[in-house]
Amino acid sequence: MIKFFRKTRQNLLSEGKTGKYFKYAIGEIVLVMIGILLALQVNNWNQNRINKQKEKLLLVELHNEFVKNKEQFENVILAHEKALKSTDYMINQFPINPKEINLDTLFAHTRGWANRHTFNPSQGVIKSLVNSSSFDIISDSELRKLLVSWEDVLTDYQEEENIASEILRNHISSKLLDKIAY
Amino acid sequence: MFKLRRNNLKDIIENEENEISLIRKTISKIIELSKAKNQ
Repeated sequence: MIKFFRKTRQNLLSEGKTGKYFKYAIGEIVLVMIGILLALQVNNWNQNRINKQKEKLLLVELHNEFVKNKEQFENVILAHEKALKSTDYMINQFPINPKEINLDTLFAHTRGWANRHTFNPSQGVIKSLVNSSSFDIISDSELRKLLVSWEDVLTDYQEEENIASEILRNHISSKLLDKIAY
Repeated sequence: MFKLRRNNLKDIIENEENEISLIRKTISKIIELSKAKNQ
């Protein structure tokens, strides 16, 4: 192929057809440029295809991680709601009349406070994703925003969880239990 | 005194409920978008 082009060039030069030679040279340049653009395009398509595959794999892992996190979260909230109901029950018993109160029910409610349920989500996938170049592969801008804000959302929630837990431990359960002798 | 504590407790519960709502929404949206994109 290269030989063919060289021969054509030489023929045109030796025959003194300068105008035709220039036309041919421009044609050859255009051809080379088209070739380069095509190669770049193919490379882009290939890169996009690889990125889409990577994105798909990452999203599957992310999806699984958050499905499990959601399950854990709902269980934690359920335990918090039980603790809240028990707290309400205990507060509403005051002033306690030992002759009227059902001690078994009272005891059952204090048990709701014994286990501190905290939300500790698995974050392996999201952390590795947000802190790496793979993050750019995520094409959905809304999802990207949510992933970036996740750490703040979780920290805010955990702060409230700690405050509630501290209040329950130091100000409610300890003070209420002081008044009850089993 | 007890009333004040009860109000504090209400505020704490309200704050936690707000955070619960926000985190629940965030988790659900991440699940939804990651599912939609990988199908």
